[in-house]
Amino acid sequence: MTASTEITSIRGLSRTFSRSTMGMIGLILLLAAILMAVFAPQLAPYDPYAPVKVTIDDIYAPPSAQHLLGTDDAAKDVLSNFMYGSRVSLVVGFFAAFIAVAIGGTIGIVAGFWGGKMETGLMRFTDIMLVIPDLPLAIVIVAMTKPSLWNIIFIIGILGWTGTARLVRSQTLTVKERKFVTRARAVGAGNSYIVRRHILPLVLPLMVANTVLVISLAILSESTLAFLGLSDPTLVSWGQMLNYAFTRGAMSAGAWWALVPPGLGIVWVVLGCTLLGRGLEEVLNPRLETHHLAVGKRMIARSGVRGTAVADVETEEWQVL
Amino acid sequence: MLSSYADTIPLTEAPILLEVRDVSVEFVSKQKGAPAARAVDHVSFALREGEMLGLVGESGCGKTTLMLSLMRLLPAAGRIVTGSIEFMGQDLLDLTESEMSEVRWRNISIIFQGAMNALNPVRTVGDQIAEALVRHGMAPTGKKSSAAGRVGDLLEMVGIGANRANQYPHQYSGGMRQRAMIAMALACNPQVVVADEPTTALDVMIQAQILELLDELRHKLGLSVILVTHDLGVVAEVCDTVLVMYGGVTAEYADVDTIFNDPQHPYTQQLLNAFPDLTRPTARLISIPGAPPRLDNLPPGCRFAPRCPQVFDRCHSEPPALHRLSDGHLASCHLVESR
Amino acid sequence: MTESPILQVQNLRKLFPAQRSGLFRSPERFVHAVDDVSFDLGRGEVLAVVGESGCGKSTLALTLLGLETPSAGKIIFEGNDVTSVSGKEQKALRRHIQMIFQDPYESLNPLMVIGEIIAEPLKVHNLAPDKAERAARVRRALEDSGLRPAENFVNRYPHELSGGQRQRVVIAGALVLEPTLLLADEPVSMLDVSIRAEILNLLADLRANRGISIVFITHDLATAAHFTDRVAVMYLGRIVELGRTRQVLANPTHPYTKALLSVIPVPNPRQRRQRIILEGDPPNPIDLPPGCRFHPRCPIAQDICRGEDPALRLVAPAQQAACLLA
Repeated sequence: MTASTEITSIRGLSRTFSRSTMGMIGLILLLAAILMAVFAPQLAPYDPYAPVKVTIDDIYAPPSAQHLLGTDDAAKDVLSNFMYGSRVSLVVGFFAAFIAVAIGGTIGIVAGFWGGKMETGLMRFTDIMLVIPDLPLAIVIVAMTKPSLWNIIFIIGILGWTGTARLVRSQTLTVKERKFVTRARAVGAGNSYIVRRHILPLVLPLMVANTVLVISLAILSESTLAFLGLSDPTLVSWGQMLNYAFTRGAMSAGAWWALVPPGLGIVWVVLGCTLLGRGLEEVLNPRLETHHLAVGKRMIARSGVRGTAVADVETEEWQVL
Repeated sequence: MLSSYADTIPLTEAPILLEVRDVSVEFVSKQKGAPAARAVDHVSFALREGEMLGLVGESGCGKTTLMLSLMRLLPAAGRIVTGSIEFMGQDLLDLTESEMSEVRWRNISIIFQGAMNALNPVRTVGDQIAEALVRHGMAPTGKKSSAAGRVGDLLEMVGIGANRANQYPHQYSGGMRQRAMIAMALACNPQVVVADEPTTALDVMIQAQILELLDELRHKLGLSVILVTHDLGVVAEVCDTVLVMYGGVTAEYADVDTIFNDPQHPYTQQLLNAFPDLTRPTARLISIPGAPPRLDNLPPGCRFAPRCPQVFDRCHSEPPALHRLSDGHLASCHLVESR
Repeated sequence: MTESPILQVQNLRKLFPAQRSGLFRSPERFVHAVDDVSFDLGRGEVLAVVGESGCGKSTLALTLLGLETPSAGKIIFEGNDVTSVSGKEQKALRRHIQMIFQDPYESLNPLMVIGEIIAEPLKVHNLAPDKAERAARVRRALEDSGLRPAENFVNRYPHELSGGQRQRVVIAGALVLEPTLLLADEPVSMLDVSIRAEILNLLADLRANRGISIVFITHDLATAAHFTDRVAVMYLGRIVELGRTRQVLANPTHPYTKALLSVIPVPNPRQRRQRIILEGDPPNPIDLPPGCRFHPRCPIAQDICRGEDPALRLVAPAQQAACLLA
């Protein structure tokens, strides 16, 4: 008698995940970006933070053997800027997503597990945060504070947790109703113990998958803010590269090489995160959870079809089955 | 209401409607190189007109797989590798898919387990039954509206009342949903109905209502019924013949009286001992140690050998053949060979 | 019975609001899940609580366990009123009252190994802080539950075990605290027939060897018949018949008990009985019928049944029924 292996464990997750092509592509894209960011000092031909002597020919110089992707308005090497720029995007993405998921996860678990007035209050708050447009609010806050790297991370983090909170809450509600939680209560376990030992381990995989999606949103937000000129002026980032290119005449100069690399960079990382996140979500979809005794694994996978679709069975599914 | 159902004798003179011969079903493993798992191994039975056959066994004994093969509704990984399934002289395994879909529902229909999930929650029960009628050409004009009369009749027949056709499944109780499922299965006047655990998860009183309904319909409509269940009590109450399956093979096949009063296979005997009998309460039930075998890890000899109290050497090495004890009594056990 | 009972339940009532309470209105309609239930449980006694789904038997168990707060009435455990204890006392109480759940597939955390699951109660109560001692107690609980040798199980995950083995793990998890009262909520209904007997026999052994008192909740009178001393039949939140199991089975007095008994399938085709099949479903426990709550479905109901709500009264030695006509 085999019951389906639960997909809720990290190990089971990775096993099933390796079968998801989209997810694997996303993982590879993201890993490549991370490698590039980590080894930027080794890979980049120039140091973007080193002062350069500017001559008129070096501004918006087209790609050449010396500057594979040309130069920008300050005569800096675009390829090097691009490589270093990925660092800011990824740092902001990861840290902001971490903050967002930590806040959202906490709120989601607290609301889902404790329920009652606490839940009503927290979810109302979440709904309000959800309908407030993030970007204008972020612009206002960044403009009022200093646009330093950590400020931006913090602001993106505290504005981006709503989706996570709702997701984690619903998962918590599901896990909370499972019998082993009642059993732990019956044994005499307190709330914090149950959350730590029974709720969190089962919510965590979902949070991991969600984090990846939040990273892509955070990177987009950072790029948008930077494009609007709200970024740490001392750091090179993709959004900032776009901002400079736009405001300093790259378009009119026909310097596509100043625009395309940061744009593609953003697309690359965001796509990677999205694919990876979707792949993980697909794996985590709780539809495989079943404990019917009668038949083997593969039949269990089908029993959902049978169970839900007798009405359909009569119309289309007979043939399909 | 006082009633006593199943006081009928097995209709042994009636013609055979459905004959399953030597059917084996394999499931192909997704992992490369792994051998196919044989879920059903050379199982045969016959169903006569108006007869109720009980298909009994524990989890994983292959009873559900066997019924799905009958309908040719096996999941993609499943294959019927040997045997034939003859319905009124026609081998169902020879039919094309579209011919088979004609047979399904019009000749053989199925009542699924778990009526709760089997009905679409956002459509009325009447609408769902009407759809089945339209789909199988049972509505006079081919429109759902023209099937309303028949839908009403069907609901009346299962004791729901035509006036509730416009209600949604959630407005029905568990027992009524199961009745609605029966109405749906009867929509196209099939000759054979397969009822897959129709009363599991229902309370005893509701179970009694459903069993009585099934029995009544069987007599009124001359239906043949295959009742898939793990509940021996239910089988004793309503069935004429019984097929006991264990680990994908036939353990014993006989009429209901023989199975309960003269069982020959040790598994049948043990199962009966393990079943609580209200009329003979004892302090201890006899239990069968161990668990049923897994399909991917079947014992080499008799599949029941690891749990059998009367096991001897030969059982571990050689699978027993299906022996004929008398007319209509088969058992697969080395012990009955000499008899 | 000379000894004082281990558990006394007096006029226990548990109501749930029938609709969600809003900010400004409190609910007016209630689900009468457990409605005025009283019984005593002797030391080492096994009491079956039998009824259809929705009769309140599971709520009764959760209320006895303290997971639901009673709306009224008293629960007296070992002579102490434990009706609404909380915090530390509640936790201490859990050491003595343990519960076994219906679904062995759901009541074990899939991410924990068996050893962790069994050790959990010890950890929660900070018992046996010494690692070796804890391991020894876990092993003992496993072996007492029939999982031998224990070493083969401690490092395995629930999904690697069969249904029967999982239910044994659940039982071991309850035993490890050495409780004196065990609440078993349909412990075998999800298991295969051949395995049910093993679990029932295990429970019977626990009672015999450890003197544990058991409240055995089931919908199946036939299962209850086998090792319980007394049986309480519940209908719509109330006990309608209470007495020695053998006696009640042989001589049911309440018409509901009679009907319930008559429809239980008997595995013998030669034995044909008159079946009393009640029509329809039990009414919902929100709008209870006036008078006897069973009268709308009762085959022998008379006019007085519509007016008067019968209480449990003695109908034979050690057998009580709540029926005006009994």
